[in-house]
Amino acid sequence: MNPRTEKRRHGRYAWAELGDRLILTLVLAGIALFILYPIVSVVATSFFKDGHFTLEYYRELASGRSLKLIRNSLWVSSLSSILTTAAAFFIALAAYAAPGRIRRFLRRSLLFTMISPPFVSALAYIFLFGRRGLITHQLLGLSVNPYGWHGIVILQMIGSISFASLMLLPSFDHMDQRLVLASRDLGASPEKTLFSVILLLVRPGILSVLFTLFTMNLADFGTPIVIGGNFKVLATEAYTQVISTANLGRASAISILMVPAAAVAFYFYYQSLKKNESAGGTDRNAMDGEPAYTLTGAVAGAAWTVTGMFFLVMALKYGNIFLSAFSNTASGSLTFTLDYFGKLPRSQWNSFGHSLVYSAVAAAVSAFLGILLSYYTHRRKIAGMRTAEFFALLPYIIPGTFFGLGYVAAFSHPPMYIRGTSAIIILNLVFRQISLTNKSANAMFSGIDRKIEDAARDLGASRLEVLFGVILPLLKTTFATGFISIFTSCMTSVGAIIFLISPGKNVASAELFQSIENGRYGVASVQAVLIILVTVGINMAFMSLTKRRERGGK
Amino acid sequence: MFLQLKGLKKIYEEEKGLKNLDLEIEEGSFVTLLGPSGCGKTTTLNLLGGFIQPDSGHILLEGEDITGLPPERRPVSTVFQSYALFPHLNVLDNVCYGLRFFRGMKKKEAAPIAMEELKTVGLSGYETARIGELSGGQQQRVALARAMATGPKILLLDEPLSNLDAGLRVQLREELKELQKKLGITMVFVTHDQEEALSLSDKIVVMEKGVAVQTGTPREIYFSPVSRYVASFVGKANYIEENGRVQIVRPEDVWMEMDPSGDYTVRSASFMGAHTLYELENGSNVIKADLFGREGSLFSVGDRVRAGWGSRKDGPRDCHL
Repeated sequence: MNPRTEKRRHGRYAWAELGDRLILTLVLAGIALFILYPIVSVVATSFFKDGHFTLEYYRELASGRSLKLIRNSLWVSSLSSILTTAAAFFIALAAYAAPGRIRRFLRRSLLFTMISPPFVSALAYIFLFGRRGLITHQLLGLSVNPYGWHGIVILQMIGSISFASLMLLPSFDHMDQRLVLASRDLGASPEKTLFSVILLLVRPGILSVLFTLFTMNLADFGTPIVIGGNFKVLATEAYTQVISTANLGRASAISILMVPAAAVAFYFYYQSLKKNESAGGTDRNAMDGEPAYTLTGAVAGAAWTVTGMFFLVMALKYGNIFLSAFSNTASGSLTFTLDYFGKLPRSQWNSFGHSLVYSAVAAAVSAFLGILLSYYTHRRKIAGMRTAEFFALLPYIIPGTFFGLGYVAAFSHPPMYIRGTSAIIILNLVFRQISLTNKSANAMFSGIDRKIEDAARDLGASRLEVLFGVILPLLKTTFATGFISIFTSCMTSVGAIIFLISPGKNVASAELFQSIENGRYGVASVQAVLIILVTVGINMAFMSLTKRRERGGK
Repeated sequence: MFLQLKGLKKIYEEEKGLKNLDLEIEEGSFVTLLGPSGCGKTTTLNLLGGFIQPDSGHILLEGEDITGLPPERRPVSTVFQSYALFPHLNVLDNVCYGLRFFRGMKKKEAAPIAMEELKTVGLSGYETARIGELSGGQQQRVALARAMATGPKILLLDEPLSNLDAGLRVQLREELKELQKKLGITMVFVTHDQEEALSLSDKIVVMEKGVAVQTGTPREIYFSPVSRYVASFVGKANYIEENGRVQIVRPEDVWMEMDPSGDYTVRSASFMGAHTLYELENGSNVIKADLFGREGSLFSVGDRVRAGWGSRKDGPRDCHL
């Protein structure tokens, strides 16, 4: 090789090394600045008032009124988490053990029912069972009060059952199927097998789901505001402190109070993750993808009853929302109308546009970052990256309000004054979800030959050429699925964002929440329908795109 | 000297890795690093490829120190045990990869050269096939073509035949040898399979616990092993003490005859087809014998025999152990 080409090649590699370092630095800086700094800010805010250290906010929490809020929160969150987990156990069992076609249908339906803007169930609940409810009032002639703690429990259940079932499902799928076969082979009845084998095997998953739900419900301020009536909880208090009195200190202290629950949730989540990971590799699936357990007898009865009831509720919920968005009952009879869509003010359409743009940008950036994080941690094995990866997991574990509050506390003043911009919303969405793709990328990487980067470099590719030419193309599907789930969650979530929106930068899910809060149910259902349709549309478009690519590939 | 390894050291946890290796390799030769897993042979290969950096020591290629060069800048190519083909690229693009990145060619320039390489390994017509559609043997050939396409000064092969079934392994072994002869390319081959090592190599380096215990031609290694370790890793051996000295006797050098008053009893017999393995017993003494052909297969367990060694031309040599 002549010296000139050698020199040119040397330059190319030097630039690539530099670019590689730069990307790594950006990933680390992002985690430090947009995850750690906000979290630290919340803690600091809770301890300082007018620049002085104080325990005042925490003392207030021990006062009589706050203690009642804490009791309320614990009662509602425990009850709804336990009931949801129990229901999810039977639904996941059905989705695991049902015969082929039904199994696929159940799984797809669960995914679809995940696409639910917040409070859609609240809307449906009020429409159907409220004071003027279609079922309670018009059909049965009753006038019941839907508001109160029972309303919160019911709505939190309806809102999180799909999520809980889908979260529990991998525990069933990844258990050692041979153990189930062995139990049956040794003569245990289906009930015995369920309680003595399956329940023990999926226990880490169950605990993980239970505590995750508990954290989510604890931090949920929206449902209690909409349906709680006079029943107040901690999360509503934190929300009103920020929105109406701008008392960040007290809100921060309340958020920190919720962290221990999140920590327990994380512990069990981590345990079940480790179990699932160690399950990989060996040939544990003795049944060629078919479940080793078959639903019979009392177990089948329980599983199908719960699953059936859940889908009935879902049908009511979605049916009702679509019906009320496209119909008018004012005249006494149902008539089809598009009036509500026409009457939707221009600002609403703008918010809708914001939602789309923010969600798409955030989903793309977040999925990309998650993959990069995984690459530097597990492929390059750079020292200290495991700690960075752990920090990236934090926003996923801590209550959503905590993370939103962190952005308010961190970015409302110099040196990083970005409150009121679109950037703050997008950044929040990006870093809240980063661990989602990070985890699926980790799983994907463990199936890719470790030597493949060595091979590419051996053949003269620089660090960057390996990353962009080999690694990223291999993780195309990981990126696509990560993008869809983050996009969906961004379109439909409201927890952290509500603190960050500002006039002119509103998003659809927050508008929807405000509509319901103000009792404009007609507008709300139109907004809900729009969110559902667009999100489902994008999901399906992406799915068919990846499918076609797979087929084209072969 | 073409390639020199000087005092190479790379220690991992639990004492694994390479303790100290000095080695000289001539241009155009086929050198095999032979040893059990954990002996440091793959570490050596990774050091040569530049995938890891040594704790100390140097690698000189044509007198130039390449120790600090990253893999992308070394004129060395590797055929990986798992092949490490790019699953998102087709066969031709896999072979073009090194031409484009290492040699800086445009895809159009690279394609004809890559086609030529594919022809060399007998895969013409498979250019647009996906990696997943190929059999193990075909993938192995693509990996070979891909590594050779960059025109490396040294080709490193990391147990390249271990993932193939027995018949194919022998066939590809032959092809590899022919190819090396034809192209005259320097190859460093890592294996734990003594047969591969003996049949392919110009020079064998037998390794144990991070050091090279013996370097020599296949004949030297087999007929004059320097230690019990080498003798038992390459081939089978009896260690027989006579006049205070331990001799190594290869089982195939043992002869035996039926003799009702003989010293030995046949303790076990394993018929292997072309040859038959026996264990002969004399009190606490057990020796292994390997007899060939139909005649050699006629002894059975319990037979009393007379046995001996050393009466043939190629017989055992003295060895101080």
